[in-house]
Amino acid sequence: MNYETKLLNAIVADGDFALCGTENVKNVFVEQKDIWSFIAEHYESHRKVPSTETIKHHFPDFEVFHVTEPLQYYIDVAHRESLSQQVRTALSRSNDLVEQAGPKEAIGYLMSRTSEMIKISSSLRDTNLVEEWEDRFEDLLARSKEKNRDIIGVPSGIQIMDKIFGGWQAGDFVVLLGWTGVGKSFVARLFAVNAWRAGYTPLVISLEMNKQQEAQRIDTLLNNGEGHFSNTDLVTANPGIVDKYKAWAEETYSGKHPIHVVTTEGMDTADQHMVQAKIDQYKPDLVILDYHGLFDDASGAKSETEKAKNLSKAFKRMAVKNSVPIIDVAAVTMADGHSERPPELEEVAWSKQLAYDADLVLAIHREYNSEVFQIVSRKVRRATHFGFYLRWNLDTGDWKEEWDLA
Amino acid sequence: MEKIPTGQDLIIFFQKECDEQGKLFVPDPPRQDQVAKSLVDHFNYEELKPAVGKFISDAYGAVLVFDFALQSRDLIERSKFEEQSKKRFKEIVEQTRLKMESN
Repeated sequence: MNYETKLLNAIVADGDFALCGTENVKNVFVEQKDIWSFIAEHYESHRKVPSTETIKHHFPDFEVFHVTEPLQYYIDVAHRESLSQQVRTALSRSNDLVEQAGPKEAIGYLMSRTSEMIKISSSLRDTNLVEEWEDRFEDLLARSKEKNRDIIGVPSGIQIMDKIFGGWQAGDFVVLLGWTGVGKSFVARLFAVNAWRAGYTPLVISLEMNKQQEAQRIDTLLNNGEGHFSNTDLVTANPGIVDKYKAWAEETYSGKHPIHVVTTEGMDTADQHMVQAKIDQYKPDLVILDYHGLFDDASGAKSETEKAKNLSKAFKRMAVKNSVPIIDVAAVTMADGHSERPPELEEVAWSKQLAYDADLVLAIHREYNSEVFQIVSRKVRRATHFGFYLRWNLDTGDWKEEWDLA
Repeated sequence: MEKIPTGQDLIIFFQKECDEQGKLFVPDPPRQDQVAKSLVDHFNYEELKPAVGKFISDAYGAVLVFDFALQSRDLIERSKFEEQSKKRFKEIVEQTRLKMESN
């Protein structure tokens, strides 16, 4: 029995599909790739790994094996075996190349394959900066010729932030801070919508609102004050805008890339494994988590502080590991009451870990019923601090950047 | 010559703030006279005023000068923190504006 069969049995016995995503297990399957694909599809549809009986029903030749070790053990063995097989194949192919094309071609092939296999075998991205200066030069040269050269990540859509911070970059962990009710979620959706307009795929995991509320909010933001309808029209189902909505939606959405929204309807647990599974499923360019305090911690924290800390670390690692920017909406402690200003870094609720882990902390404030959002950086890892105003009609979706509030 | 604020000025300020914010000011003589004088002597009057304003806005029931005095140190520190934070925000916005305009 080979390592693929043992691993498949271990996945079925353990049921932790999220771990398979985290460990990039799919790459180890060659002979039994069809069974792996079946398990992955079953998980996507039913949020559960199929039973042995179900797999046997579809694949009568599937060999059942009594699992005696934890899933991680079989994953490690599979990675080792898979890599060994790839090394053998590469050596055999290079030997053939020496005869057929010559030693230089064989060396070229070996170098290319070795580089790929090192990437697969190393979970950490080890880099020798001295050796790689030419890569950085090529990257710099390419970017210097680009029209929007300031923005090296997914654009936020806000000129000031993109100029100074350079957009959301792979591995960024961004925290949005604000007192309750000031519009943190609106700002997070604005970033999602602006990314989508720029051709990127956002994933919004919303534990605060249901699917309909999310859709209405995103429709309103995309409408962007063009006057087809307002958020109130959508919420109250105004008959007068139904046809206008249809025409607008057809023009806006037809043939376009997705905006993935995950809401809590029917969901028992929303923890870091779920977030990882959704990233694996949708391969987004930008992830928005709303909000930090509502996520469960799979590592079994006993207090809110410990939970907030564990989740913060998990989300930061997830951003780096998946090379995707993650924006996390977080609350501010209310012990001293609601202040009329953007919160400071030390006022983040439950755990200071969020502030430590973040590459950018954006503090947001809006006075009661005001159209003016005050936005300021409280921590910036790769730029200078910045602050600005957004004048924003939340009902029409119309917004613009402002300096002078007079 | 600039008038030096007195305890009575502080009591009048309490009454006006309560009127403006719709809160009940409870007169407490003669204790409040001595407490107000002590507050004015001990703290900077300009730092006391926003702290009093915040104390009154957060009050659920009746407002007494004595109750404020018991929390005065914390309220003044908090008030200074708030003012500094607002000032810092405006400074960052201005610096950002200058930076954007110079690009």
